[in-house]
Amino acid sequence: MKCRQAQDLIYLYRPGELTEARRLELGDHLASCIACAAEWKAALELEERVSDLRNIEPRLDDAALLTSAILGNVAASNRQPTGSLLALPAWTVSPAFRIAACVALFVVCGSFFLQTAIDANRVVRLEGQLKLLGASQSATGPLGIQRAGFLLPNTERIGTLADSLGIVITDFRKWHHESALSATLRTLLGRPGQTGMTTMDYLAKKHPRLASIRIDDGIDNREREILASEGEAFLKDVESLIRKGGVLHDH
Amino acid sequence: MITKRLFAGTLVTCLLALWAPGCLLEHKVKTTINADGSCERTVTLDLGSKEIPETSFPLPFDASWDTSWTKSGVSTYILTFTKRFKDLEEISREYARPADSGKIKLDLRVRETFRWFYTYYDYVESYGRFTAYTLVDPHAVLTEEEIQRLTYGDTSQTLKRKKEEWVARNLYEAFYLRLEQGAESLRDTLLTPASMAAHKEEFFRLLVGYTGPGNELHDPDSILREESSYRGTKAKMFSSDGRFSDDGLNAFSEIAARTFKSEAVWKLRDSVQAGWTALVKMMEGGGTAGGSFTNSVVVPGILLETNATDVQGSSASWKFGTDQLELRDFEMRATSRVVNEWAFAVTAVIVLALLGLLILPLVRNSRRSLSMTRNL
Repeated sequence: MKCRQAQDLIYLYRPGELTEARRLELGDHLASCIACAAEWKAALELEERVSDLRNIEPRLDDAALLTSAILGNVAASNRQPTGSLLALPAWTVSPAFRIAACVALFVVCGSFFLQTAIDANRVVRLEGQLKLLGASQSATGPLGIQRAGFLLPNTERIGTLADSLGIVITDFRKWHHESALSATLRTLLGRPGQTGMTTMDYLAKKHPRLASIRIDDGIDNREREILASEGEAFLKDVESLIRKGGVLHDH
Repeated sequence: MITKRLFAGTLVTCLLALWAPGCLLEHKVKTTINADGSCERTVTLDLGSKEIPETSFPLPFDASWDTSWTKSGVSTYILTFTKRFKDLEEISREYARPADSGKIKLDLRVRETFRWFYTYYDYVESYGRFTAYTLVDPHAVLTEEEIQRLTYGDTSQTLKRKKEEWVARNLYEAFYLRLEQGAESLRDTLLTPASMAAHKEEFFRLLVGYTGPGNELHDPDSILREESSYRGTKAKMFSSDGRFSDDGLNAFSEIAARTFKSEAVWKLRDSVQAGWTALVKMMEGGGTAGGSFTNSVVVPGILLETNATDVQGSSASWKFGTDQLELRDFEMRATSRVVNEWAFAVTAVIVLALLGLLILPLVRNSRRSLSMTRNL
């Protein structure tokens, strides 16, 4: 038997572990090989120590002390770190508190945004209202036309034309910053028809010089001359259109 | 001359008054509301002499108001009444008192509403309806929308004419009441109040040349002449003192007899004259004798809502005349908002605290998990 084979079988060299022939063969090798014999001796000592440990029995002198020590360690691991920002009362981690805090945050932020949004909307509406009021008070409506001096010789003022024909202009706010004549006619005659030809286009075609006049910035001498020469015919056209109900009827 | 102002002509006077505001007594009323709740109210009148005029506006002669005169020109003076109110309730109380029946009833309410982040100030002031034309409800002639539009300054000619019709109906009512009383005392079987009532509307339409809503009314002077045997003549229907002339009474009786189908009307000459006097009296009490008003309010914070026609920053103002008070109360509204900075600071602290309480336990737990992992 060689040393390598012997060292593999050393830990089995005891009664009942090996065949008789192998045991005798290993015994002969251990008797003749000093190194393997030393190895076998060390294995025997280790086995003796292990069997000694098996004989030791556990002993608890003070069970209460042990329990207290364990609990102390557990508590120590759970303890809040004192003196830092992370030190919080225990109730802050309760679900009830966390839900309540979330609801409170939602209500506070929600009410702020809602209140602010409503107010912003009111301000926008007020601005719109004032803008419309300003537009209706500017010199683009009938009153503005009158103020600008659109008083044609031997004719009625264009601004009172609707009234003289018994038409109630219900919404003075429709006038925006466009040509005063166009705005007035739009108000007097309503929206353009479906034919694509607007009332202003129609009148501009017939009275191009008159349609070019902007009276919301005052009237100069040239414009006065145009008004004087073409104004009356223009008013007759407007009156005729109003009576017919607009360009569509004229078609 | 006075007949020219009657019926159809009445509103012409109003228009003239509107277009010539310099001829009218202008009242400037300014209310300043401060964020601390205190207020100041100033009433200013530009006068041609150092005499307090008779006006429909209830001038504050209370000793609690400071009154001062300032010379503004050679013969013009500014009369100013000023009062400071320590809180909003005090100013509201000031105008909650019963008003003089001959004066415009003012109602002023300022309410402060605390809404944590913002405090809202609601200013509502109304000048009560003030008119001598109380016999016919405006709704009998005008719709609510038309009343609203006329009150807030719509100058449409058609609406003006409809209002003119309402005025004419009031004047006619004052006149007709006397006529009806006369008929009652006459005890004529053919001219009873009931028989007159059947033709009341017809008679009105005839007297003013009524042709439909929004159409122009005619001067009774010409109607009386044209509808009677005086047609084509130059007979005066009214004398210079505003009473019926003899010709006018004849013409009237002729038309009335035809309309009411009774010659007994000829016996009502005194009632006709009394009716006409009542009509003239009513007409003199109406119109724009009260002058014009410029009411402005300066509210704290940002202006959110108002029905004012002029807004300058946090100041809102309204300009109107007594003719705009004839149909309904003139209500002026303004709402403003003041930011409560302290509320924002407190809220920020609370929000940060809540966020901290929500986030820190999470941070702590994650740290502990980390250290336990390290120990293992």
